[in-house]
Amino acid sequence: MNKKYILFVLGYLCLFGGLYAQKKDTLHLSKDTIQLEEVIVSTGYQIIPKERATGSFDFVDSALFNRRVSTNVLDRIENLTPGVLFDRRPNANDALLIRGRSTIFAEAAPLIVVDNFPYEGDLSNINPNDVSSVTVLKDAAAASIWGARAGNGVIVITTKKGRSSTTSIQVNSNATIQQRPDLSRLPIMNSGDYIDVEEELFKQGYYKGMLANTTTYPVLSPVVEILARVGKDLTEVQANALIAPLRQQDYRHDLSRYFYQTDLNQQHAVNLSGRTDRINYLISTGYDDNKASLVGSKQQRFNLRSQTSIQFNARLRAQVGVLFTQNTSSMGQNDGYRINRGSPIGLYPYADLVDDQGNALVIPYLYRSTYVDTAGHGKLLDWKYRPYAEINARDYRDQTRDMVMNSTISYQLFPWLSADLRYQYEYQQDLVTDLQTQESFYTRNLINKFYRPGAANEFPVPKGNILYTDDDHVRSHQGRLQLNVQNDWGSEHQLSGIAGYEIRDTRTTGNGYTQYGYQQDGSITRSNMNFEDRFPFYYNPRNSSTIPNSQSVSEKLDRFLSYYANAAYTYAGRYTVSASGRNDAANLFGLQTNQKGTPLWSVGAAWQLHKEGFYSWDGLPVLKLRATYGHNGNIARTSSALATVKYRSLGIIPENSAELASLPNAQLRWEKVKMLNAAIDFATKGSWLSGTIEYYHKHATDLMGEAPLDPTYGAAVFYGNVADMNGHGVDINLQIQPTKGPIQWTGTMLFSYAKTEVSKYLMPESSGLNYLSANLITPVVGQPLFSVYSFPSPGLNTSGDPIGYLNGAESTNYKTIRNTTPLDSMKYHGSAQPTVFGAFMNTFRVKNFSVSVNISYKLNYYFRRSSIQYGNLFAGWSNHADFAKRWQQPGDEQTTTVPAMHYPNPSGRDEFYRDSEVLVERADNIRLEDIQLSYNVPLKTSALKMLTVYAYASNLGTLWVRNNQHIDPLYPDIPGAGKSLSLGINATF
Amino acid sequence: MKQMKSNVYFIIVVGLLLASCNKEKYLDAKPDMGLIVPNNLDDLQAILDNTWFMNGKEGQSYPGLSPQLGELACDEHFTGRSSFYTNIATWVKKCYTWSSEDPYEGNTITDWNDPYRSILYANLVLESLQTQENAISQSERGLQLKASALFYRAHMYYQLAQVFAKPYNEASSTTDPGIVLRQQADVNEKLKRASVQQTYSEIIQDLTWAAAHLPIQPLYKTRPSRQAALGLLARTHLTMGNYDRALAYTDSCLTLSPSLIDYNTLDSTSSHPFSPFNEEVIFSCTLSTGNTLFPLVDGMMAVDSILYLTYDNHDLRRAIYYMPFTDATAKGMAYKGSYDGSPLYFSGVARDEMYLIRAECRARMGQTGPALDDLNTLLATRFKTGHFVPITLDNADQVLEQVLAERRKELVFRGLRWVDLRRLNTDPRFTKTLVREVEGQHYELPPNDPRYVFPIPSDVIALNPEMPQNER
Repeated sequence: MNKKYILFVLGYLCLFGGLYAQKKDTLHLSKDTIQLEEVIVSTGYQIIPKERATGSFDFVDSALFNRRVSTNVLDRIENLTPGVLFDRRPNANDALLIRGRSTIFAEAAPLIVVDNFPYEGDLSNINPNDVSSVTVLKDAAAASIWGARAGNGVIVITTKKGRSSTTSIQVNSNATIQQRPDLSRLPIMNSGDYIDVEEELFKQGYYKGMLANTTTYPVLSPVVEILARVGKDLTEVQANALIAPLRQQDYRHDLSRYFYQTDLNQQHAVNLSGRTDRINYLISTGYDDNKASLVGSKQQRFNLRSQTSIQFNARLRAQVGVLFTQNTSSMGQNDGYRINRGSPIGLYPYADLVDDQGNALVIPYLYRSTYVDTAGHGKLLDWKYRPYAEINARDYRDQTRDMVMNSTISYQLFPWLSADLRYQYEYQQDLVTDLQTQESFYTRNLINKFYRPGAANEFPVPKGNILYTDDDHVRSHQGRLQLNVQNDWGSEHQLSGIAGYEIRDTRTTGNGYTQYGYQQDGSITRSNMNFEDRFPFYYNPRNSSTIPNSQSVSEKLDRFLSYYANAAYTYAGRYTVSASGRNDAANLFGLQTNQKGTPLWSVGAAWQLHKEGFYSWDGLPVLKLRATYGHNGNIARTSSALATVKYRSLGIIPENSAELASLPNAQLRWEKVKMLNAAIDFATKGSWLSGTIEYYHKHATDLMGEAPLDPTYGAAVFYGNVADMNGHGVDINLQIQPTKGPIQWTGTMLFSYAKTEVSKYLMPESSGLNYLSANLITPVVGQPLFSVYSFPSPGLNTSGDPIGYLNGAESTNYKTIRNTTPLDSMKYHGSAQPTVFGAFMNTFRVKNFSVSVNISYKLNYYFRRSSIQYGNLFAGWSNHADFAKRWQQPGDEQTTTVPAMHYPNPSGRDEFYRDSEVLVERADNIRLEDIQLSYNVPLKTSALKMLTVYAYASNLGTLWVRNNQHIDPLYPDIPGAGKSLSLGINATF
Repeated sequence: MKQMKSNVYFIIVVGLLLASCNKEKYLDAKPDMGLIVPNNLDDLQAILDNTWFMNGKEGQSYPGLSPQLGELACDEHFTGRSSFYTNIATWVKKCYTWSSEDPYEGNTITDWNDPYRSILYANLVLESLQTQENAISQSERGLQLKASALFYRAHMYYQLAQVFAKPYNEASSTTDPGIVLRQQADVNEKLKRASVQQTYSEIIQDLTWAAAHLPIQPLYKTRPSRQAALGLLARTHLTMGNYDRALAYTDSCLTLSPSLIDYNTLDSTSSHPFSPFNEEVIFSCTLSTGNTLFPLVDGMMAVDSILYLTYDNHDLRRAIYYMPFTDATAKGMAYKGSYDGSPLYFSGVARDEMYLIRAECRARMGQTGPALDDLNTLLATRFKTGHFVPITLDNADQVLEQVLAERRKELVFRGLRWVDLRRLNTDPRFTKTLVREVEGQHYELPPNDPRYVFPIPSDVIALNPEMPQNER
């Protein structure tokens, strides 16, 4: 009885949001009296009872994992584990980080392991319904077994295995609807304002040159075309009458109605599992069907999986698993709110995209409407652009087929020693076909553009469809031999350890090609395309180009040979010490690295203080202290250990010549992340409060970066293992469960603080201008890798121009300010990535009914918002709603920071304003992530063992944002995703 | 017992599995087939055929190759126009006026950097050849590629030593710091300066091997040939004062092909009278411009007026080498440009130099007749037909003086004058104090002054604090 009690406490302690698990486990205890399993975490090499672990593991169990409805696996652990940061902004530098970034140029995303091996395919192949739990390995002791790939942390996904004692069938089925995005949040100008600007520019003679241009026929908006007719076939009054209705027009209505739809996702999964004397089996299948919010986009996924385990005798066991996935996504030519990315970029706000009968309307595109109306004397294909008709004129498909086969033979050599031999083969084909039909503007334009009236080959680009195909294959073999030691001597000594050898070979090949005149039946009308010669443009024969011919061939090969071992020793159930080591050799590393074999290692210790005889604090019956230190690696694929060259012709002698592309670097090695982790696990009396508090410090060295090189080596800059970063942070996970009354409340509070900064970078600082782009990596020592800088500016002066500083004095000499301001005169705002983040989840349960609400927060980071750029407004159609807030008369500078419109647009002013202090905002926000309701239907029949119905709502928006503009930093200049609602059932037979 | 047996089987099977892996070969596989890792002889030839980096040939304003600091500091030219001088960079002025401070002022010194890039390319080829199978590396082409790489490297060692190391002095050569003899391609190699003795030994050893394996006739004059190796050996020995060896090498070199251009066949009115890879060129290379020498072509700097006056009126070189400045306000005569038909200055190996080396060595060894034969053979091609009077002298010293005077007139703007000043300073008969008058200031460079050695660039010293710097 006593023993059971302890197990219960442990199980409870170690499960986050443990209510479900606890309940389930207690049910098991009372109903089946099966021995309760301890909470065990998986490293991908072994499973460890969390109680005896020294390292930092976060565990998401099946119930918590399935709380969320999603197509993808990783979505489901968002806001459930401390230290794991998801960044869903479309241009995020890192979509997923564990404990902050610890690399500059190499991959920063964690290693994803499925069961025992790194997953080499596309992660969206995995059906979340096949997942039983997820373990996040955060510190050196937890992750170091993955050696040179563990530096960014590891996420281990454990799939379901056949466990139940009787044959059981589980069904999970749900449907999700999602509102179309709210396009009213797209910051575009009011049509009336826009037309006023066009009329003003027309008056100033801005369009004169374009109207007279019969060489390239630059595109002009409908209003400009009308204005150009005044005095010809229109009077001013007639023109105004034509323009007046356009002032009421807003393209977002058509866009929302015809280009977006209500998103509808369905997910169905069935699994069958059971056990006979010697055989455990599980067969599962899943089907997902998603219709995305962009009209024409959809995704379908089909999974089939089987997992069988056979116990031949007391010593020999074998496991065989097969997983097949087919994942197809397709879309048409629909850029949604980013409509019209051609020339000019953007769209005039009064564009009419679809008429009242639902017919696609023409908008001017690439060439002037008056030109395409008449060009070609009937010989050409229609040259008009109708965005709505384009959706179906293109068929882009991405079809992934993935096959994973694994087998394991386990042999018990001695009661304390077993051996596992594992092998996994994975083959993934990713076939992309992009069919631009002859109806698409892309194809029609190419055919027309190269039309040569009277030539022998009138149409160098043949009529018919254009098909681009990209066929990628990944083949991976992974093998592992591992010895496992597990021994208890009496009750005092417990030893567990593993040692193994691993080999991995992953080959990725790709082949892309373009076919012209492609017929839907698979034939092509013209095989002898001329891609060599330049052909003149029909509309401007003085200009010419070759016919585009996308082709690519690639082949990549990763090979690893690794040795590893770890061991944990527990004395008296109170003291645990652990150590691990791993040596990796790879074809990516340099010769010396492979030969020297510097191992990556960790050590750790844990002390279960509450088990000590002297421990008598009743208020805190569980208290465990842990600390670890170790080195993990991270692989940079951006460099080569071997000298590489590129060919070029220099024209002095008629021979090829080669230029060195990368210097040979025999010492090229993995990046190293050294991490110290210290933690306390505790629970109060009655467990109303329990949790884990962890502090870590990390020092990443040997990071890839540029450094000035002694020119005696033959080059002035060297890219190698030269940079360092430092980081530290705190992860807190608290569980609150105050009472056990009729309404049970459980609160889970996650808090993470993660700060990393570059601590060594050898290249000298360049001018401030180079630190403004979010896409360029420009490390600055002492600051986070992704930082937000701006030109200092107090706002506008009395003539509506933004004020800058030149050598400390106010100035509007924007070009000089931009080009000469040194980095230390720039304003440094802070990190572009959240440094404080977490979530607060509350679950209420009344009888069979439960509700849980998750609220997340991301704090202490910055973003740059967009605003009006007059140069772009004049030269093209891109525009911004900030136009309405612009400075218009003296005094406005008190209330606005949006510059006045001047014609002509002052040179350099737009760029200065775009990068100035006034457009940098705090991104801090608190968000209502989701709400889940579920109801366990009380059952009377015995055939149906369990039935749960659930509802889930997400994308519920922000509760608070720090910036005054009320911009949701997740969707700064774009319409946010609509709210979504799911309904589902989960049944077990 | 049964369990023991099966355990043994298990261990044997697994042991065999592990042993069957060839670790080295497995990990040698190329990670990305898109990367060209130079591993066949065509790739290696293409590296050496990088005429920008291995020969300093022009193209998209690429600024030459072999160090020009010596040329800048020698007595072949002066600033023809003061307005030009005010505009050139301070560090260039400092080099020009033999400043005793560190002249570089933190600037990138291409005189050092570019030759070492060339050396890197050569080392890359040499290392790659070592990894090839014998059948390939020992093939005729493999051996020729090795010889070529050794030649390029030795050539750069030689050129660097003339600017950044003390003149060769047998007595102190083992302790005088030479240049860094980079012998690997890897960037982790520890850098240190070899002695002057080691520097020259390495040059001679590499060139000797190269001479034995290079083709007699190269396909292009940007590629090394046997004649080039012999010629460079002759020059190296002359620089060291080994006149007998220099004589022997010029003999071998000229035996392979003795022909000269008759300057009467050149168009002296042309602004570029020489064609690229002309008949006399044995190996084509150019002086670095480092932003400093180019102005000579633009009519900014003039040939030394005393030197110009030494050309006879019937000497075709007066009009073939020089022309009046296009800018009427500038003083003096401008050097037209390269001997190799390029806008960059020639610094390679040419046959006229071989005649002059042989003449000098013969004169120094008392063979006055043969010395004059060499001189007259050369000069006959330099004078207007019918106007050349062969030189007749019988005093060996006079012959030597005459040879050196002709040497100065013939080998202008090739970086060789600096080398000659350094070596001739050791002979009291030929010492010279260089003098400059610029912007009202008077500058002097006495013989054997430490300023005949340029400092190692400061960025190199900063990264290698233990490396000895040249005194200035």
